[in-house]
Parts: sequence; structure tokens; C-alpha cells
Amino acid sequence: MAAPATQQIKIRCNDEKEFTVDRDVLERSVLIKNMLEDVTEQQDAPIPLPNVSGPVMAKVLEYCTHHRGEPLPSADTEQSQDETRKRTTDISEWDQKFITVDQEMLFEIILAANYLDIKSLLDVGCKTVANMIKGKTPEEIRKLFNIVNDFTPEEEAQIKKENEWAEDR
Amino acid sequence: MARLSQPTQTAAPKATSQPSKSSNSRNQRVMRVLSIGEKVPPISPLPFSSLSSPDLIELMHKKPRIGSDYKRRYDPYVQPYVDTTFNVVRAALMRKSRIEAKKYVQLKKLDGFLKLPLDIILSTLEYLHPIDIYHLSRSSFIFRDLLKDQMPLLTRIYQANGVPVWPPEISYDHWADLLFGDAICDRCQVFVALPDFVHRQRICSECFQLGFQFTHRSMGAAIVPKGFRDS
Repeated sequence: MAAPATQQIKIRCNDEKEFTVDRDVLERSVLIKNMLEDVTEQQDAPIPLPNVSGPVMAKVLEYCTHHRGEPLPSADTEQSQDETRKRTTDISEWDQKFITVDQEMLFEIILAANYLDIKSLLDVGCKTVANMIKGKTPEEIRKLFNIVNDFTPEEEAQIKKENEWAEDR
Repeated sequence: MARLSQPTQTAAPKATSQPSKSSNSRNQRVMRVLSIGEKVPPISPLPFSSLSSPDLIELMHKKPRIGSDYKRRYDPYVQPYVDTTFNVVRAALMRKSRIEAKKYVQLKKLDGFLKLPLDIILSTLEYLHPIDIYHLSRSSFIFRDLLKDQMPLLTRIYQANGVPVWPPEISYDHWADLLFGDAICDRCQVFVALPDFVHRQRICSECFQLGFQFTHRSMGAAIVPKGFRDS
């Protein structure tokens, strides 16, 4: 049943860019893994991925290639874990270097990981964003997300926070 | 008959042994008896498992910067920590997470985040500390409305970070304000006041000594007798 590890799979992104990748690299994506399991006979036609563009797919494949061979987190282990356990925001050194991109690429990677169902990559993306929100005052959060303060002056006066001690570090 | 009875006999102890094991481990987690000679683990005096008391004591003795409205908030009745003009717990938490955040990539702008699908936004928020959630909800109505309907998520975040969940009779907003809000008296808005978890308010000793009859924000009317704290 198990296909040889060296089997090459073709995929096509929405900008007609094609990639030829090892099967075990592509199987990091649960979406493609399920797709490949459904198709039994050898196919030469590339798999179309209409929601992912070429540059993003190259980045995602870079991640998948680095993490090839690692066990996929199954749905059972995810559910059995304690829901109220503290979620760590630690990111490994390689992943941190990988995710050092501009915000457009960051969100494209998050969306692609969500679409392709690559849990670990989605987690890395979410943690990266969470680490940017952490320890920010409301004013800094407004600046970060480019949003305006739409509270009335009375509400604002009441909710105005001072962080003098936190800010001097 | 013999063939049939054998599997049932072997299966029965298995089924009984598994639940007892799990219940044992659950008991151990709740009531762990220390063996003789074992060190007593340090217990935080505050309802925050992630904070240690040295962190807070250091902050309490640190003088606020010149130019702050330190004098206005000076409360002669608060002893012995006269310098607690600000919410020390919040300052300690913020300092901790600021130091931690420096290890990671920081982008100047992140405005595309709000265009992501809601489930991705919510799974990102799961990684935050309750104080970050509090600050998000105070930044704009966008986040305030977003978080208003996510009480199960908020409960989970509080539990995961070792912060006590709000009691059922008061609202999330009120509780978050009590924990992470300014250390100013709710009544006079002038003096320093530590959170009073009995009345779920911040009341300075001045207001307490006036013996005011005040209405509680959430519990209806509550009368605090004169000299409540002196007795």
C-alpha cells in the first residue's frame, strides 16, 4: 500500500507555476495527503492548488522539506491533550528564521497553511503574530493594527492605563 | 463455553483497572502529599501562578518616574508600601512579556491580521496572556466586539495561564478591570487602592473610613459599615 518514498508529485499553483516534489514532503499537508490516498493509480497531471500562489508555495515547500520525516500530529493526540494547558509561544530557531518575512508573506503563509492543512506551520504563524501582540499597551496595539481609538472621551478616561514601570525596560 | 468465558474474564479486569488508574492520578494532582524532607514548593501569594513574589516586591519598591502624577495618587493610609501608585501586578506581567517578546520577530505593521478568517484570529488569541486580551479589548471596538462573544475562549485563556476565572456573579469586564486596571480607588478616583476581592472593588482607605454607603456595580446595593477595616 505504501508508495515508494521517492515518488515525485507535480503540483500547479494559481499562477501556473509548477513544482515537482517528493511525495513525503508533500504529505506534510493533510489536504494533499488525503488527495493522494484517494487517487490510487499513477497520474501525470499536476494537482491544481487554486488558493496558493507560486512564491508562497515555494516558501511552504521550504518548510515542508526541512520538517520532512517528522511525525504528523494526528487528530487523536490533539484532542487528548489537556485543553486548559498553557500554550507555549516558543518557536524553534530554524522556524524563526523561516518566518522572518514581511507581513503580506506572513499572512499568505498562514492562509496557505490553513488551506493545505499543515498544522505545525499554521501554529508557527499564529505564534509569531501572538508574540507581536504580547506585552503591548492598548496604544501600541492600535499602532500595530492601524486602528483608531473609537471610544468616547469618558470611556477613554476611564480605561486609560498607565504603564510607566513596564515601559522603562 | 470455556472459550467464551475466557475472553470475558480477561477483558473485565482490564476495563476496571483503567478507570482506577486515571482516578488515582487525578487525586494525586489535586492533593499531593509531600514526603518527609521534601522542599515545599514556593507558593505565590497572588492568584497568578506565573508571577513570583520577588518580582512584585522589586517593583513595589521602585520609585515612579519624576513627572508622573505620583503626588496626586499618594495615599497616606496605605502602609507599608507607599509607592504602590500603580498596578504592580500589571507592571510585572507586562515587563515579563516584553522581555520575552524581544526574542522574536517584531513587525511594525500588522494591519492585515484583521482581514484573516475569524478562526485563525481566534486561534492566534489562544496564545496570549489574559492581560494582552485585556489590552486588546481596551484598544478599540473592533477587538471589544470580537472578544465579547468569545467567553469560552476567554475562560480557556484564563485557566491556561493560571489566572482565576471571574466569579459567576460579576462580568468579565469588571473582573479584568479589577485584576489589570489602574490601582485607583473606584469611588474617589484619586487615591491608590488595592483590589478588594471581597467587595470586588478598589477602595482606598480614605473612602473606607468615610464609611460610605455605596452601591456595588454588580451585586446591587452593599453597605459597608463605618470602620470596617479597623475592627
